[in-house]
Amino acid sequence: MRHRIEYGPAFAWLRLRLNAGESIDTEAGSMIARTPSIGMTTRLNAGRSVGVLSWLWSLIVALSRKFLGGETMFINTFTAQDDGELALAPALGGDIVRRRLTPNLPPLIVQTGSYLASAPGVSAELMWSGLRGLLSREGLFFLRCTGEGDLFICAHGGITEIECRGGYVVDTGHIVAFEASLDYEIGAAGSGIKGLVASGEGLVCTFSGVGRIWIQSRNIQAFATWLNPNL
Amino acid sequence: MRTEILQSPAFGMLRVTFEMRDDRIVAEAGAMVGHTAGVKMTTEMQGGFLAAAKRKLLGGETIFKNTFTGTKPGQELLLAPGPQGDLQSIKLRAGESFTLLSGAYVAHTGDVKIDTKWQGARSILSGTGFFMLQATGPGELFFAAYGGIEKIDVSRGVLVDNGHIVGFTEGARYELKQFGGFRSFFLGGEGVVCRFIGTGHVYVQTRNVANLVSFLTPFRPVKGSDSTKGKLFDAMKGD
Amino acid sequence: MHIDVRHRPAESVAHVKMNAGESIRAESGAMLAMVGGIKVETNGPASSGGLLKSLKRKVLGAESFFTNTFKATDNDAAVWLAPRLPGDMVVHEVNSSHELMVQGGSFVAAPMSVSIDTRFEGLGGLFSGEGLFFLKIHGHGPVVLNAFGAIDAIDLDGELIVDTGHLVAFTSGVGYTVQKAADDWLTSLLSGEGLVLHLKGKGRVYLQTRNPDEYGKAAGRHLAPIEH
Repeated sequence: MRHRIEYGPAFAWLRLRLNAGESIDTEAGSMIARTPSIGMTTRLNAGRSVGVLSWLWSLIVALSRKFLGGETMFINTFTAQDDGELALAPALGGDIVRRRLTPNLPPLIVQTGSYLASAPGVSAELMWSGLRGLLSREGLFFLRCTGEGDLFICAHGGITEIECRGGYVVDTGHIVAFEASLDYEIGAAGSGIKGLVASGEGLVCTFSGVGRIWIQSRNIQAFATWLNPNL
Repeated sequence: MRTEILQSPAFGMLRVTFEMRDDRIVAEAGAMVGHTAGVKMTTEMQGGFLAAAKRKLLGGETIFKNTFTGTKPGQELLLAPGPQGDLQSIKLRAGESFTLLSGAYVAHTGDVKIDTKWQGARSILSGTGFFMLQATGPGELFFAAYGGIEKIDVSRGVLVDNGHIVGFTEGARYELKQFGGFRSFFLGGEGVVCRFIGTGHVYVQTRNVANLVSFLTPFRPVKGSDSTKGKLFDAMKGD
Repeated sequence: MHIDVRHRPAESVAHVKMNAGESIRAESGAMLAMVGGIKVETNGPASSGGLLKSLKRKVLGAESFFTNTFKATDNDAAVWLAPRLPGDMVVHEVNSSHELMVQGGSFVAAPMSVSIDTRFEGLGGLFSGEGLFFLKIHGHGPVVLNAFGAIDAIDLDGELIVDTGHLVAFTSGVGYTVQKAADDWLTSLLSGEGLVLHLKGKGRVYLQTRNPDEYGKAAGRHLAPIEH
């Protein structure tokens, strides 16, 4: 499988070249174009277990992902019957980056709305972000990505990679992904009640340790705040 | 203090690197994307409570401003506005002014004073939620637009559609005009335009908020009892 | 006439420089700014015919049927034109060898040597957010097109399946049929893809890397709700 990301950071799309027999999992609704030799199957976005009970569990997980995670319920798997090409993109304007996962690297924690596509060897588990996540307006769930293969993440805005060496603070609405080697804590930007209400910042995530963080240069909440007086 | 604009013109973002002890930058509340741990943030209501309240009531800007100061050289701060589009800056000398759309303000360094009392351009943007501010130097002013930013010399006379004005320099004078005749006002699409003359530049954004609002309005959530049912149906559809 | 598209692909604007006597016709609402001596005239529907009256004006889809003609009375006059939403613009030169089919909402401007016909396809459909509505453009000269997203130009010689909301324009050598995204209706519905276009032939195809309908849904839900 070969890939090319074009038109970043504004309206990036992902072009893939699949050889016969290769397949890729994608967020439902993200296909722009494909050659006819590539076929599509759809499944619930909850992992790959089998059986009625696990199908029910899949449905519950997928539904909760939809309401809380902001992601669709379904994953489209495109499989090449013959060599072919596929182009994918998310709904909002922004960039796409590729992360090649291997068992040696720390798992990647990805904001659910930022998942675009992944190779079959990558597993994206829904992760409950714990009580800390309750404070975050951006949702309670993250995806924990492990395995081997390419993972494509997208963002609203451009994507900037930050090397955290000690500590870094990021507004929660701007987090795209981070390495699981980092510790994090979610809290108010300013101090005390005044900080929470007055500073205008929503919530921030304070990362500590060593690892990489991917941030997006726009935030859909800030966009809504900016536009609302005009509605 | 070093400033750098990244990802221009699609998603302009300002990266500030603190170098010296007194380095500080004031930014619109909500503009912070991230910063190195250790950067200090203090919140204040700029200009005092009344001035801040007036800014809030007139719309397009929050009451609060955050001042960021570095505590160690090399620390960085990232700032970004709400809409997608470009971010640019202008350096103002002491006493030099720049008229800016309220929704375009992102941050400033130095001693830039922001005045919202200036009546002059209130009429330029009637119908939108924004109004015009006047910024006076010394310092550097950072502003962002909805769209790309075109800097146009006014000396030959420029006609600009109202919804696209971001700001203009001291020395540029303007008058409001109706575009074409009666027929074109309703049918032609462009409504009121501003004719700029004088010296300096007018900054024009390549997109217009009114169009964005009319595009997004049908997609806004609706407050009502059947909205949950609608949401469930959408969820099943795999939207 | 010299047309230069700046700030591609997201915040694009077309800078049209004209000398005395030259003119360009643009969809209404496209003008940002003008410099130099320019006379503006508002015209009626882009082409005549009773068909236009029956076409519903969508928020993004249908062309507004009124255009403005900008005629330069001076040399070095210029007008800046931009579309309504963020996205790219491209200039396609049309000539006697082909016609250009442009999806509704994607036409920005062209000089009078280019003719515009409206052709309504009438394929709304339960699953497709966009009705397929094309303008047929022919003649000779530059045609300024816009898209929601970036524009990718493909020189097609074969087949390609395209999501309907992502097609901007294509030349007359390319034929299309509408089909379901997957083999069965349920999968097509759940997959989020709905209807797709199966393109076949030889010619130029312009795609946009975003879909206004999907963007509207993704962004719109974060805005302040409308009170009933």
